[in-house]
Amino acid sequence: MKAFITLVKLYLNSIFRFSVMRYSNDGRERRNAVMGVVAIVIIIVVYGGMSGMTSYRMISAGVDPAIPFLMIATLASLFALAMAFAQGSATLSAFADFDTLMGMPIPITLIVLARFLALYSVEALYCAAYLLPCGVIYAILCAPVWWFYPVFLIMLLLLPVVPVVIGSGADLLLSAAFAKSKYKKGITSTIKMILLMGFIIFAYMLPQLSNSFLNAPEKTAAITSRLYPPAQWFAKGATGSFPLALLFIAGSAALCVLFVLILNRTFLPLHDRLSAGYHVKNYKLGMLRSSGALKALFTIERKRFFNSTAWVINTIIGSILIIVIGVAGAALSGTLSAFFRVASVSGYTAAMITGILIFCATISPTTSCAISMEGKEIWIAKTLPVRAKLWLSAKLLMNLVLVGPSLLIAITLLAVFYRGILTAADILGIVLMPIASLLFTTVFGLYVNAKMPRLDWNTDTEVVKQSGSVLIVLLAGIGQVAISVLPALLTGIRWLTPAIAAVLLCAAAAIYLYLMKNAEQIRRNL
Amino acid sequence: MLEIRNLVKSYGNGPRAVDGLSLTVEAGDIYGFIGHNGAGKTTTLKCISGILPFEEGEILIDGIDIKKDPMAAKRIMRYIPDNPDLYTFLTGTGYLNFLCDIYGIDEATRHERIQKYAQLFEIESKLGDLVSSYSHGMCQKLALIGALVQQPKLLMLDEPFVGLDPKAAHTLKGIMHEMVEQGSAIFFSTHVLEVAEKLCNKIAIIKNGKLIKAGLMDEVRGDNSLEELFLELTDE
Repeated sequence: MKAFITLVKLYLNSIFRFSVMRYSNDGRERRNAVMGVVAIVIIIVVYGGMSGMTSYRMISAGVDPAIPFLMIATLASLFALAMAFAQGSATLSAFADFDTLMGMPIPITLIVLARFLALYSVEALYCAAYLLPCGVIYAILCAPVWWFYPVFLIMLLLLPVVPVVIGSGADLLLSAAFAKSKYKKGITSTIKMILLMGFIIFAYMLPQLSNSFLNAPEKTAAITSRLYPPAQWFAKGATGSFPLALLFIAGSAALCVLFVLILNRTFLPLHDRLSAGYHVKNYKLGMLRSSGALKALFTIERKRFFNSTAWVINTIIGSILIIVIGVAGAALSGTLSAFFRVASVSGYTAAMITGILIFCATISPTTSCAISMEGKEIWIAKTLPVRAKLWLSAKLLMNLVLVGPSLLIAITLLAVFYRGILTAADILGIVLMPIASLLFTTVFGLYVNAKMPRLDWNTDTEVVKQSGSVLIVLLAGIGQVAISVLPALLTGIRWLTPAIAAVLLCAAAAIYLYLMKNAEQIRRNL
Repeated sequence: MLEIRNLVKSYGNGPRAVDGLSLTVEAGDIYGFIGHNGAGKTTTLKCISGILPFEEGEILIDGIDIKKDPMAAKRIMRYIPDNPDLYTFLTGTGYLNFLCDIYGIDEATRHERIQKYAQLFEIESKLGDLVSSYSHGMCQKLALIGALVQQPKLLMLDEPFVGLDPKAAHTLKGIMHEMVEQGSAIFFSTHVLEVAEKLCNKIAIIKNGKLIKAGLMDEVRGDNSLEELFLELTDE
């Protein structure tokens, strides 16, 4: 048991970096670790606030209290499922310490359970952030029976179990199935991308579900329950049905035990399969094509990016969504333009287009973790005879190449197809603002990562999903949507958007100049 | 080829990892750098290669100050750490081609040199595989080939023989001799004193960040074996 607790502490320490915060002599490293935790706390507060407000709005409007529980539990579970699917295999089968642990007198069950708990605990944190405010609002407004409090807390703890088991199990199966393929990264990334796009489309529909929850709650609740029954058990259990609460608790616990038992039996063969690489037979060295230093550095960035499934999924979704929005918006322009005119909301069209494009373009730039992703290989970049400016430029270029073309296509399509209901200022805003946002986010991401690098990671998900710089840039992206759209909407002065774009471009230029001027120092201090 | 003057390096508020170290490596030298664990060998090598900044002192590579003109200095030297973490997402060929692009080596030359060293280290058939599938020794060989194809004037190696099979170690020793005959210099750290004794013409011993003995192997060693001298000096 002591070994198990030690392992769990070890894995949690690796995620949240408690030891670095406590013991590191390097002030900068300690500050970065603290900032990482602060960013997680901010995200939890934002999620919790949104969940609390939605719950309050619905319960105080007289809606059945089970419905906000159902809605938020479904959303939280889908979020946990997506995260576990994206990083489950990497966390459960990260074999950096495999040899060390296997050489110790620790049962495999404990190792498996500790890894599962490490994966589960992060999702549990986010699920609690979603559901706890909902529970508090319910407790205040509905004064539930006494057993609500302990049962709700137990169910809250168990909520991510089912999605984490399904998500990480599916990820492990997928990784194992293509482990020996030359294109395993490409295949698994593409499959994950398609499935996660489905998840995003569903999440996009949730606000509409929220409205229909208010209009026809029973009908919509029935549809959602069929989609994910455990959320229904959770919601009913939290609001008075003790048998359903027990069913949820027992079902989650049983699934967890079953998963750990299966993993326990398959852990060693799984390790064998996942660690088997693709080997070329009868390889002969051919002529090698030469290129310039920037192209060579960019190639490294490109290959590193596409080698990390977590990174690809985190970033490329924005790019795909931009294209989808551009093409769908153009295809439906006749219908939507007519709707905007009839509904007298044509004034909001530019704000909506700009806001959506900015959100997709800034949600997760590659630059926010591009330096951290160098990891232990950083010594190569530090010893190469290339200017640090060039090294940083390759990282900036990667994000621009990834998002820029799709953004330009979408901007052109939307500006052309909606020109009938847009003013000149609107069109200028639609063109300038997303471009300015992309440029700003690209350089800002690199700036934040240069200030908060994390090179001592074991799995790329620690950097891509949990590092402070990524979370800060994510929040900054949401902030950019508000800053760029709200002033024009609130004042009605449409030229404000292009003016803000100009300010953002200046800010981007200033950060770019700072990065280029201090490039050598940034690289030297890593 | 390499001149270190009064090098001082500390980590944060900790004690000095390297404390006033001065050393000269000349062209044609195979210079061994020995010391106990944590003595400051790797820190010194990392300072020379431009990986770590340092507070005081000067490091000149062929007369070029690493602080003032790091690009020019890095163009003529190569460093390989004791546990080289290479780009695991590239194939062996991809990694070597990347280095050749950075160093501006033309296509015919890079092909010829890669083939030569890959054959010497018996890794040619594995160059098409991803680095992630390589063993520690294969990574070490690939890192060595990556350094050798640049034909650096100064080659710095941190524990180069760890992980290499006996044949590869023998090959490396041969290449080291060949390089210094052509006017390069080699500066390397090792714990294998027998190797240092046979291979190096000069030796430096570092203890707690301070250089305690340096010079020609025969003069430093005197009538003792290197092992006896090392134990005597580091026990004091």
